[in-house]
Amino acid sequence: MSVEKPSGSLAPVDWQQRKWSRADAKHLLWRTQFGASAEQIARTHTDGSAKSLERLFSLQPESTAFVAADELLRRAAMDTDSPASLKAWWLHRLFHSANPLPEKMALFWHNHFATSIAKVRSASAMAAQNDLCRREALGSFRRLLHGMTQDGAMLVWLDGNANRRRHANENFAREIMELFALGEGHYSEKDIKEAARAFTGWHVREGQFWFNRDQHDFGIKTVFGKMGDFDGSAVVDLCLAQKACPRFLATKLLRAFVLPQPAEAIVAAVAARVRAHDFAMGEVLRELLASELFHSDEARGALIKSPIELALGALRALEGQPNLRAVHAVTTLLGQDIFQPPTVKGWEGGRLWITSASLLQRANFAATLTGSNQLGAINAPEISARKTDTTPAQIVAHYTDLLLARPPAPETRQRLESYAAASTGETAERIRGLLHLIMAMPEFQLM
Amino acid sequence: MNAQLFRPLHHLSLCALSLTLFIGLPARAAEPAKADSLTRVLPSGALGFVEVENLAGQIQRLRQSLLVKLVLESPEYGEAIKAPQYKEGMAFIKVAENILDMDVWKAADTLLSGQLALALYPKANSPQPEPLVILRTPDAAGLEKLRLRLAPLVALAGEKIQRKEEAGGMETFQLDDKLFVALHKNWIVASPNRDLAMRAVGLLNGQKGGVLAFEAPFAKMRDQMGAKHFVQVGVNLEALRAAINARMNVPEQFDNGAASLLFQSLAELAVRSPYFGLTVDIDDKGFALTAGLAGGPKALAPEHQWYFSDPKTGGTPPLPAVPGLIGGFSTYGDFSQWYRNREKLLVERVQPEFDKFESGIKTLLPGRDFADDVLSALGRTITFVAAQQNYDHLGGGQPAMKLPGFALVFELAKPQEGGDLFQLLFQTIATLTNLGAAESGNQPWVMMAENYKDTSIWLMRHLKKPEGKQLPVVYNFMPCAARMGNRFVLTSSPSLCRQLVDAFQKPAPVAAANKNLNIELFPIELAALAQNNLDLLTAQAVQGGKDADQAKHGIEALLKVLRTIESAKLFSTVKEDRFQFRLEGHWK
Repeated sequence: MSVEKPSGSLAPVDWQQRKWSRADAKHLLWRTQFGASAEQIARTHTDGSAKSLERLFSLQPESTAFVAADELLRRAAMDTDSPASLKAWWLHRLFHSANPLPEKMALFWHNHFATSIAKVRSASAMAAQNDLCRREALGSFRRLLHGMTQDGAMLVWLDGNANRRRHANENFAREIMELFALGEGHYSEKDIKEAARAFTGWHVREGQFWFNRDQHDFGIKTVFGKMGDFDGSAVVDLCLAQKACPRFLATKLLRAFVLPQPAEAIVAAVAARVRAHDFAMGEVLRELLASELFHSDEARGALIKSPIELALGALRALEGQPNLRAVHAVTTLLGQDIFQPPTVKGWEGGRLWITSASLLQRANFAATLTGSNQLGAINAPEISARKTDTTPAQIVAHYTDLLLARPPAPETRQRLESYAAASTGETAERIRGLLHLIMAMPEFQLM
Repeated sequence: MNAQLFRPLHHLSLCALSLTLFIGLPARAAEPAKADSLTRVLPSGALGFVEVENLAGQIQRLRQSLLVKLVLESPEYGEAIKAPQYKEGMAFIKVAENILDMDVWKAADTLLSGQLALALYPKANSPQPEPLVILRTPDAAGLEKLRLRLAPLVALAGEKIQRKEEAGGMETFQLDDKLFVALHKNWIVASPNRDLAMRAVGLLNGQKGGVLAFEAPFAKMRDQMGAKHFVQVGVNLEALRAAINARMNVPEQFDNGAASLLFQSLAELAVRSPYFGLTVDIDDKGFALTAGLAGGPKALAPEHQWYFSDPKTGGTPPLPAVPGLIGGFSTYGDFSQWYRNREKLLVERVQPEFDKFESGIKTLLPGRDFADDVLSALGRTITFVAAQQNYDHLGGGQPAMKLPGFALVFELAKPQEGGDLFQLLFQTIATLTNLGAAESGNQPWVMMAENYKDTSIWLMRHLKKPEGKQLPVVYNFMPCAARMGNRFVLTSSPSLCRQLVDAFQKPAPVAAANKNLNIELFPIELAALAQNNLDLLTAQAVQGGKDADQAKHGIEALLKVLRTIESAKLFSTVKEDRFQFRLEGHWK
């Protein structure tokens, strides 16, 4: 089935008319992976938009070293059933995978279907859910939502086993409508009660979905005004058919990848694309990333980095080798503990990432990263390469370009240059001092 | 304790400097090297001393050992030598070798193949003690060469050093008012206190009387710990008590139960001991470090005697000889005595904690009183063992993370009564664990019994036999209990329980005399356990930021080192007049 091309602000940028710049390349990379090194930015700049998008959306072969380490870390997490090992495994993937966009989307879906190991208490169940998020990261939301309703971790998380024929538990049905598919205000209490009946008997046994026939209510239900002998799958389809569903997804996608507060018209336009692509989210995202909207001035530096984007992004930009356990500790301190979101709503994100306390902790993170090897050694070559940039202005230009979404204000640049000129000691140490200053700036919190 | 007494670093550094500089001056007369301990030429009145004998020989021995060879081959060492500090250090050594015209090992051999001693003396009107250093070498010719090479450097010091030729071919040097050095053909004496140094010179020249070795505390130390060691350290506790206070700041009552169990009785012994001694001995196959105090348990108040075994009847037994023994400990103590005396031993503030503890323990042992029923049923020794375990009881399944089997062996004062009590405890824990398992959806245990070589073993097996080679860690645990004569045994694995039955049915080996505490570790078995968990250990290193290959090589190097160490043992012995701890390491 052919899909009509997007138009208006969602129309693709005409790169024949507009020059693809280093800034465009950096913008694309920071939004689609966790930070970007100078070499990655240069390569993406050289490749241009189309080729870069093709690379991001097609499956890249993973290196042998990555595969070996990934297997090792996953097996360790399964063997020890340790949440810390599980989190280290995923952090390794987030940072080292040759396919960063699927990983970033998997994190997006983890936040959407927020499930915590604190209650599930099974590394293997959480890893299986994570696999599902990754498998459908750029795939079909339809398959993903169906998969989630039969996911072992999700059924434990939302008390699936308590949902029995004579005592339907509304928890599962409520979260599907409110948090996964429609958002508040797009369903009635009666819809929830009836949908809960459809999910009765959807239980989990030994970590796997189990249809407990004896506990399923086979009676007629009425959901969204439609009547039938609905089971859970039918209710999921009814949710997907609601107008609110693509709109709900469009809002989340825009907030995660483009703008913190998208206008109504833009949400409506993206929702139309979600429907047009029948929930093929990779297609929708690809159109978004190529759009005038994404490359507009308004979208540059408009998003606040999540703790994971901040920590892994800084490490990647400075070509560091992360200490996964230490990085996990710091992102947890900053408010994002993967596999352990605070509530069923996940991390609210956006401006809520920044509080007076977290801003101080973000500055402390910068100090730790640039002043020690505690979070992972930041790459000496990246820093020593700068020894050839002889003037303070050149050094400041290099690092502000590498680390900031937008060029700094002239007075800020001047202050940084004054610092670079006045600081004494070893070049590497002076650069570390400068990096600390740049990364402690409010501008570094944005991407 | 007055910490300033042990902060004479400024003077020490001056003494060290003098040993380096003054060997550069020409010698005047020869004197044969003496083999006696330098404590015989150290003046009396010291708070403490350290003496090292033939350090150069030990360095040489260490350089040739397999252990050092493995460390030098390790990736960590390979990384370390890339560090700028290492390169700077090597450059410094090269410069020093050029000045000395000999390699650094030869220089060390010349200076350190004899004896080196440092003693600290109380200083009038000062909290800081004064150091005195004596170096004596048998290599007078080597020392002469070093002196000649360093002479130009000494000359650079100019008028800062006042040089004087003394009778008998000795030279003295005064560096400002800070350091006095006397040197002869094969010895050097240095101290900030000229009188003190001259007393040592007199003793080196054959004067009699007033030497450290014959002071009562150090004479006792020599009698009880021996005179010849690679390193010996002596502290005159009588002098220290006079300098600080009679109890050396040791409180009469402790405010922590664990600290009281572990250290209080020893601290009381130290408060009464005339000396604290430490010796180190090394040979090709191992080392021994011994720490000692004078005085026996009978000198202590009754509430402190619970800790010590009877010097005549022996103490705790050796660890049971089970296959794949990784390590463990056995300890002696009359714990019921300690518990009954807790109000004397511990401050009032912590006493309510014992009431809370007793309330808690009643959940596990309903209707029993902890002090009267439980502790009185216990004997004096408790043994803990960790050994490799097999997974036969899982019928082919294996956990992915392989842990050792663990065992606790309690000696029972009342075998029947104590056995019943501990079995009740075992059953209660099993029941509570099953309730927890039910809550978290884990497999419950089913209790069963088996007869093994006329011993009844109670064991808890999993309701369903697990399958697979990557089972969760919980499958390392299948608790068992058994009473074997006057012992009650709790283990985490059936195979270990059976092995303990075998071990205890054999005639008891002769126990090392009066061991109060006995800790043993067998690194070869530890290496085997680590080998079985290699992937998990590698994963841990990768989580810490290493790449997988780098991590694997690092762990394999560590395992090689572990495999060269045969055993490490720490034990204490009690005699009528002394208490000693001994740490022994044995390698291939």
